[in-house]
Amino acid sequence: MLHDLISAVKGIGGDMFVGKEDFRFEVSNDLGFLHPSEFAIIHKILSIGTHYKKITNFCNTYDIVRINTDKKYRCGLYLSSLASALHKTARSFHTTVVELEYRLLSDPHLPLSELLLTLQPTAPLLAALSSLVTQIEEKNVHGCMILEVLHKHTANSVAHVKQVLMWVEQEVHSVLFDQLTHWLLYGLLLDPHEELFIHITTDTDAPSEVQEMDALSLEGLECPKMNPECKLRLEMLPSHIPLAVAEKILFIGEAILVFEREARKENDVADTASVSSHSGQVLKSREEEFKGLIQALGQEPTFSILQFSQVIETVRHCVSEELWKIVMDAGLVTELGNLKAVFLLGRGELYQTLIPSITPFLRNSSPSANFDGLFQLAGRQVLLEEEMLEKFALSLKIVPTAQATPVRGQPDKSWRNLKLEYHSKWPLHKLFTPSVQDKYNSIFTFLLDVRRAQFRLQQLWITQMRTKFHRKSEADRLQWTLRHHMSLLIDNIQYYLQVDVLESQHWQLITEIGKTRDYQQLVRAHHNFLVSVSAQCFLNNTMVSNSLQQLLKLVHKFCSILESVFSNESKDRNAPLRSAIALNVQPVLSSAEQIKKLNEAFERAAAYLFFVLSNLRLHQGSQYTSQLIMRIDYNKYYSNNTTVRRFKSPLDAL
Amino acid sequence: MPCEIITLQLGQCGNQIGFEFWKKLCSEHGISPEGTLEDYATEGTDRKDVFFYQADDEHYIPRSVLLDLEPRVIHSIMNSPYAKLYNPENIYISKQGGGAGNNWAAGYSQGERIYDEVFDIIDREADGSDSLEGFVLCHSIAGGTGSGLGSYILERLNDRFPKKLVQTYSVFPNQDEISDVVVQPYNSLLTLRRLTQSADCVVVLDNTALNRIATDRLHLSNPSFSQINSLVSNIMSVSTATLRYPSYMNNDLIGLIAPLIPTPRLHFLMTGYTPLTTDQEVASVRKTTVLDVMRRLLQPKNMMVSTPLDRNTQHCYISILNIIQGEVDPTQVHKSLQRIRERKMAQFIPWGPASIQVALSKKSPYIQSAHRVSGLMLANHTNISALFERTLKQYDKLRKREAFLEQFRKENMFTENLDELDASREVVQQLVDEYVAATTPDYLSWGLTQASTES
Repeated sequence: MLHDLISAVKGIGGDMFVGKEDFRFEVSNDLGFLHPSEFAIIHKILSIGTHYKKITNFCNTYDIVRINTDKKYRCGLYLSSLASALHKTARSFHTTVVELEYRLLSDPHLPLSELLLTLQPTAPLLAALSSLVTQIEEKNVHGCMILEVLHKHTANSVAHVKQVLMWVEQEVHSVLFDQLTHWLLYGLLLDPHEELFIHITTDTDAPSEVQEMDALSLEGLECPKMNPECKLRLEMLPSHIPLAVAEKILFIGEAILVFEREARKENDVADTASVSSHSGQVLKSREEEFKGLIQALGQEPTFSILQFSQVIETVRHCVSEELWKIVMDAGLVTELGNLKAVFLLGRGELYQTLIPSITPFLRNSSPSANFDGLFQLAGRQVLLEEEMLEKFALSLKIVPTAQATPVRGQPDKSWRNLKLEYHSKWPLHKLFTPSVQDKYNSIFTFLLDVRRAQFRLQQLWITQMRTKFHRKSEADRLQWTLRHHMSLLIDNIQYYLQVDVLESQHWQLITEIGKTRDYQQLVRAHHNFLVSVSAQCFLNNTMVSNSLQQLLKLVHKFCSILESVFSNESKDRNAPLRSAIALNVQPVLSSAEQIKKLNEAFERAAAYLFFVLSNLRLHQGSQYTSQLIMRIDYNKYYSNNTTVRRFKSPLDAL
Repeated sequence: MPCEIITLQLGQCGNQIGFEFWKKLCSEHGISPEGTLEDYATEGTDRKDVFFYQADDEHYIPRSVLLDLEPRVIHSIMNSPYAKLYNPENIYISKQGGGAGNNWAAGYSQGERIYDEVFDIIDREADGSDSLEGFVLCHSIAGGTGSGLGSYILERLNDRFPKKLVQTYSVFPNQDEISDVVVQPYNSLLTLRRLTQSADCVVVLDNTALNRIATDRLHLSNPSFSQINSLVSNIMSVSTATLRYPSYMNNDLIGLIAPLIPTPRLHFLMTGYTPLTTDQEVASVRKTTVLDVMRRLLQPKNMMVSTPLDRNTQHCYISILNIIQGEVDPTQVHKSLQRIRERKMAQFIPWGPASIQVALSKKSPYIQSAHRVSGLMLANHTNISALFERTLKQYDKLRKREAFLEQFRKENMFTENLDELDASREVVQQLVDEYVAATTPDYLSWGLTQASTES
């Protein structure tokens, strides 16, 4: 009977102790020669056997040696390493049982209680392991999540059990460290069973689901195969590894992947020299050092998240700094300057040339026009550097409209559809992704509108100057005053945008980039730059931006009226002031009356803008709001001449 | 290329300051006196095409027309190292060679005679540019050629190129010393009428102030012509810096001057420059901040126009444009503007919005400057009327005595009557009145009552 019992403990059932499906044993006490007290002892011993059987069963299923090709069984590096680790742990139990068997052979009168006594100490460990195994089996835990389960069990256990579990954990962690070594040092993802919390997708069908924090993700560039997308798989991230650390891990590997390996692919023709000098360089000098660090982590008896994070941070810092160097060497500062010059209208003369040349095409709303050709031509005319110019492309985004476009079209609307595109080369393409370019474009649209208003008002100035001695009338004077007020307001807004916002922010960005020596900081700085620029252009503030739009609309209307008046006049000087019939704007009114109305509307709109801004300053107190106010109200004309006076607090009367 | 500008230099003074101006431009763009690009001039971001055009053989040639009625100054230019710079076809010296004898009427009537030849040159030059924006005219208003021929050309430019801008750099005579040109007040008055009516923008260079600056600020006991002229050329080059170095604003002449000129006749601009140093002083480097520069620009002693203190009228700025060059932290601009506003350092017009506009511009990379930051102010200030008033006063003095009029009567324009002088006086008086009216809050309606009484 004792032999039977011992083999049952080893997991092999017999006639007396019948093994059941769920690894439990049933005692067939048909003969009834077991005493109830013996019965209790046997039950205790058998439960140990049950645990052992469960564990060995698990080991046999998932052991690395017998990786099962059968679909029924899951397979994976983590599972098999857990299995082999458990196998080793169970071996000590196995030897205990074997020893016991020898003793039994030599001493047939060994009491049952002795058996229990010998086996009892191993029970807690086996129980813990078996519950671990059960959990993994039942919940279908896979890959890295095994670490989480294991880590929880370790944390909840004590004494000997804890030590053994820690050893097991260390064993299984070594798989993680192994994968991480490849990933962190070479950007290789050796993960055939999709176990790691990082994965690479090569499909481009869902670029939108990229997380905000994942500022580095590559989206829909020209060739999907060339641009694998690395993402975090949050469901695979063990809860004891902080998200921040996981993100760092993602960043390091991806960075190496993109900046080293892809460089070879993408730039095999173009500047091979610079690439070959960079590729493999990201970590070359410190590769060994980091390998050692990770190995040392693997040898630590306990998994310390602190140490782990520190190592990751060390690697990240090194990678980030290397990337910073690569990016700076690739001329990031020049590139940012280019973006500012074109997207943010830093090269005023380019737009000074482009606006008049593009106007007729937009007026007739001919979508077939070659806008990029016009853009390139304008660029060449103002002697823009060729290599800079060819990176940009201008196009008219065609918005599908339900109704047929009217003959005259809506030129003001089509101006808003002009889009710029920037082609940046490795390694800077990671910084200027389409989503970043969208942000640039929305700022561009606004700036271009302001610039165009300014341009039209200036052109009117010449025409007005030429008619200065032909007429002296109230209407004429009003034209001058209104034009002057408009252009001053627009000029001041323009100065605010270009000097207070763009120059200052760009200056800060460049200083920050130069200082940080860290690629991720650099990405963040660039992101912040875009955010604060669009905030300071009031693009996100509907009240202010609506009121600015209203002002711009009035300016354009005024220009259209006067332009048509002047062109009529030049055709027929003797004719009285003709209304702008061609405009279809209330043809009953003469242009003088229209301008009178416009003047009122403009003064109202300007006062309203001032009012909105003053309120904003009172509530938000943001510096840039007061900067804009100071620009447009430098001699306190608006604060003295609008109703805002009433709202001003005495403190504000600076 | 957009924004091309043709420079016309007239008479002795105009040619002298023009010469200095081109010297300055050449050094700023790295162009040798022969017109070729210097080896060190490798930075291609400047726009040489605004003032120069490229001949086939890689020579840069100024878009400049040199006119004089007497050969002396132009000959001295042609004997200088810069002789080969200019297009010889653009140099015109009257065949008579006798000059205008410091007589406006003589200069004006000679203009009529040489009209075809002069405008052949100007037309050819204009046709040669892709998109001409305007003309810059350098002259003095006191002598004969610059004032008389200049007046004539101003009128014709308006007829011939109605869509082009005309900006002048006009040198006003020194009031502190007794001039050898006795008819100076007549000349000045007659030229002022044309400047009021036919120019779009006049940058006033007051010889009185220039001499004062040379003696007081630069400590030159006897400032030479070329020292004064280098001051002038400095102003001319900085005021065109935003055109020549690509930037976000003020990329063309109109963008530069239109914001400064709110009403058509008030288009006379003062300038100020800081820091003022001579070549010998360069060694002493002063720390300069944007605020320092902007504050100093508002001090009358740095202004290139000398205006007496007028206690009767509250003179004020109509508009200001500061061009700041050098290494500037753009965040400083706002702080400086704020400080100036808080301390009320500049008085503005009461009848409309006005502000100090600040353009940041690049410096030439080829010229070593001891100063980190330097600045030029272009300002439309009502006090400039004092200068015109002075001219009127001097004119009235001469006119009362009917002095020196016989020289004028020799010319067709004045043989029958002196209506031209009276009309000019009327125009200048109106100009003074308008400037004074611009100091009052009801300036906008002033123009209207004036108009209604006239018609």
